[in-house]
Amino acid sequence: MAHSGSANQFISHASQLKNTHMKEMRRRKRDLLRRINYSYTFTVAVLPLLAFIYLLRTGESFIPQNNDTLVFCCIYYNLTMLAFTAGYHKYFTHNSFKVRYNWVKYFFAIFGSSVGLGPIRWWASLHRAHHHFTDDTEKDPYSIKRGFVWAHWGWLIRKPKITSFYNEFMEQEFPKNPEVNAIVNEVNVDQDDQDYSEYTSDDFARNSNYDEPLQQLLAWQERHYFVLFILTSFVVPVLVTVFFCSDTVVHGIIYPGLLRLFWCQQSLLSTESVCHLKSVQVTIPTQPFNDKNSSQNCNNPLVSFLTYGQAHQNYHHEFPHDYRGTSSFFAYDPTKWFIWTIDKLGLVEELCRTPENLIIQLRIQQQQQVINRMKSQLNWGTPISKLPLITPNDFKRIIASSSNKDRIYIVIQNIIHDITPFMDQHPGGVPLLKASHGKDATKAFYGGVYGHSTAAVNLLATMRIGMLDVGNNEEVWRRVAREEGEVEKSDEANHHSNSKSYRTAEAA
Amino acid sequence: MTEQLDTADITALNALAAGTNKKTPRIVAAGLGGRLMGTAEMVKVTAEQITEDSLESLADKDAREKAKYAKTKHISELPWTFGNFYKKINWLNMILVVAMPAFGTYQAVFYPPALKTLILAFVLYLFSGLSITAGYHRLFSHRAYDAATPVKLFFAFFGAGAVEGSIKWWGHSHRVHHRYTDTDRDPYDARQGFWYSHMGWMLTKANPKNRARADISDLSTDWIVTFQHRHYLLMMLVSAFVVPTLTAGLFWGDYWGGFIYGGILKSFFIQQVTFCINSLAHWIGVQPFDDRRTPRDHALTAVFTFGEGYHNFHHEFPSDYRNALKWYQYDPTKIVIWVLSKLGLAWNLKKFSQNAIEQGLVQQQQKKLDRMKAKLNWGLSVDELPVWDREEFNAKAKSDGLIIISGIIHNVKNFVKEHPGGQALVRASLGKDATKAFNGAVYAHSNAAHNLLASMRVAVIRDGNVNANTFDLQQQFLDKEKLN
Repeated sequence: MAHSGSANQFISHASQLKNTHMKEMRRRKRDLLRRINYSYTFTVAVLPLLAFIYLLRTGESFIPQNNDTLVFCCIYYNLTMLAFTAGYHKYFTHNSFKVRYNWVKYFFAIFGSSVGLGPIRWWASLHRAHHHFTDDTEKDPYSIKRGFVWAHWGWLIRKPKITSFYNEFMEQEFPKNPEVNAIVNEVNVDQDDQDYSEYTSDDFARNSNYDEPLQQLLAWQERHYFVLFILTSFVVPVLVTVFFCSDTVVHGIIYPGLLRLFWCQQSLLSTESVCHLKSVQVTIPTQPFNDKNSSQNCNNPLVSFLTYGQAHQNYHHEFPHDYRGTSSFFAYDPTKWFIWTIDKLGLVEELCRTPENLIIQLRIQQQQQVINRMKSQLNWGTPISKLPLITPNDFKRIIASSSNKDRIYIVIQNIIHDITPFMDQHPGGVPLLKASHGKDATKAFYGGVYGHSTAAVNLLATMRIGMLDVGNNEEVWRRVAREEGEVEKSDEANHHSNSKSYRTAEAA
Repeated sequence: MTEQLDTADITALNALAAGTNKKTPRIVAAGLGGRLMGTAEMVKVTAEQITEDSLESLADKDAREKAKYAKTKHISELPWTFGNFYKKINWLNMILVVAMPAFGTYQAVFYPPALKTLILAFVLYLFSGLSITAGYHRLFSHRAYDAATPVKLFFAFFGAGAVEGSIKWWGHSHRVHHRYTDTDRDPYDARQGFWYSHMGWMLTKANPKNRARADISDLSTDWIVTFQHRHYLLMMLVSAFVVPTLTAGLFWGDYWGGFIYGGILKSFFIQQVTFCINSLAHWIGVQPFDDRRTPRDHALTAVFTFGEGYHNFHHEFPSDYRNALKWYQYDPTKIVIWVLSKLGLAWNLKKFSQNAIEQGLVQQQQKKLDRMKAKLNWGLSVDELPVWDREEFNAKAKSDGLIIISGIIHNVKNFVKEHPGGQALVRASLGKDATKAFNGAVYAHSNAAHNLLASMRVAVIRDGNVNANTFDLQQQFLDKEKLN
């Protein structure tokens, strides 16, 4: 029967659908398992969790009871954090300064690995990708657009979809192959016709951060990352705890090992999550330099403390090469203090500082943009060019008509204004307005009777209804140009080069 | 076209604005009180004179006045000497605002107050203070709202108790103050210093050269105002002194305390607080709406003056019944008026449009920003740059480290080493046009980078496509790329 046939067909179709659906789910599950980044899950989730479980089971305090261990924890926390923020972040990623001695680089590389956020090559190239493609949902590895949890933890636990992109990016930023000077060679080929006698290749090598030794260092660190991690996260803390603080091995693993690890990670991860979040007002977020991306200056000093002085992300995203986290002298910024100190000790050189002028310029441009946005939302009155032209005779006729008996029209600078709705609010009283009805009150308005305030001039503009046609077109066009040039200026974020005093710089 | 529109007759308008168009000239503080206070001669001015003064330049006016008063100087223009100081002082005001409070303070030292008397004094202080701010100021002077007769009567009676003159006189001076803020005609000209605008103006005789008038025809037609004006002395004595003395005396036998605390000292406090609006509110604080004139916004002033401290706003939008806009700003007067309106005792509360208010804010911010901008180095503008030929550029490019970006030659020699993207990229572009590379092909530079670039300008290349606004250019490039 046709009916049963179609029913069978339907059932088979349904089961087929179900099968594909199941397959899809299984595939997704498999994908999920494959896409979990086990090593980072282990360092950022499993290890701290184990420590918590241990402490909760045994009922021991989260703060070490042994005084020496506590002191050691604080010292070790700062040491590893500085190795990470000054080394991984400011040196390897942003090239904020040059290191004079190799052992300083090794110090950064070894103790930076104790935070468990991966080898330098991996973390630094991802961080560069974050700066390069901020807020891009795919290319920014910890884009806040994918949610708070993703920006904080998710990006470590799940592998990105576009793994090949990141691999290529990593290869581009920190090439592994021995041709370190590939770019340089390319450049030299590129400019055969030019002769840069004054720039020696020696000059170049000294100033380039990513040179052969550094490349070897990164390769070495990546190769031995796991050993270094175990060494700095467990072996060193345990040894110090046992031999110098006379505490137990377990306490050595828990306190300066895992809890410190957890605390370091949270400090670092929250810069990418908390400091990119606008919706939470507790952190007092502002964007004084650029509000086109999600980076926020968190002005709550508590956030500054939590993030180890990296709370001013809006500044950092605009001036990533600055060795400081923000330009303010008084900001809580241990990394800045550390780098400054080792600079004075002569271990590093050529600290990158953004000139104060640039910072103020950017601040001003951002404010300008905010103001422009506010301006564009306000009613500044009908522009002169859009006003209907009315001849004086027509205007007289309009006034004379009985339907306009109760209205008040006043001409100021040849523009006809309908004052009727504002009449009762006029601070100088209605009689003055009535006496000026249908007349040119330019002089009276601008000082003859009262020199009106800026606010009054603004209000007047909103009451325009027409332009008196007195036959002086040139004058009209001059005013159009003057006024609407201004309007255009406030409408568009970007000025054109015909404004006299400031140029390019003030764009956006 | 020859047809012309009538021009508003400024003299006629001024006559209106000054209220001199009436057949019977309006009298402000005439008679004994007026003569004592010295206000009568300050208002004897015609519309013609005002118009003449308003339209001519200040320099002309000064010259004319100088010539006029070259021989006969008014007492206020003479220097203070032992021989004439008593002539310069306005003795009535001296007694009312200095001598009596001094006497009260002296008595208070020897006469500790009863708690009930203090409470009475405080309540009367609130009544009189609010009568001045909500009544004298916002209702009568600025017509910021309309009020029912009982409310007006309350304001007229307790306002008289503040010993600051009648509504008519007070309102007139205040309107003159708003009309001529920060000019010689301003009765409490803030430019002459804190103490002048606080008390000095009333303790000394004013110069009739600075006569001014404002229209108060609406006040003159209000029977409450005229009644209060006619019987001001009596009302003032009853409201300021008799009421507290009798209340304290009849109910708890503290006649003297009632007179000292509820009468003299209460009036003294209100006076000082009101004077603060003329002095403190033009002295400390910020100017978010317009900084052309002296009025300022400050929370401290607001706390002292029942919320009149947001004076910058008030001078921009005088007939707004509010002085504070934000919920956290202290303006009890506004709240009182609002409550009255909810009780049906006040209506027609005037508010300026939010649009106009925000316009003022934005313009003032823009002004500040422009001032900051003017202080910075934004690089030379394109018109100021010399024009170079290709050959000239090629010759110098090697030695000077030059790069062309959007038709402008930049000297990057000192910058190469500081380039965040590494030197190689800059070096590769030396002597070339790097417009595309700079604007996104290699890296879309930040705003700061564009600023920095502008500061390195050297010249303009001939026949180059000059666009000084490199940031716009970059946006165009990026948009194009997005489309592709």
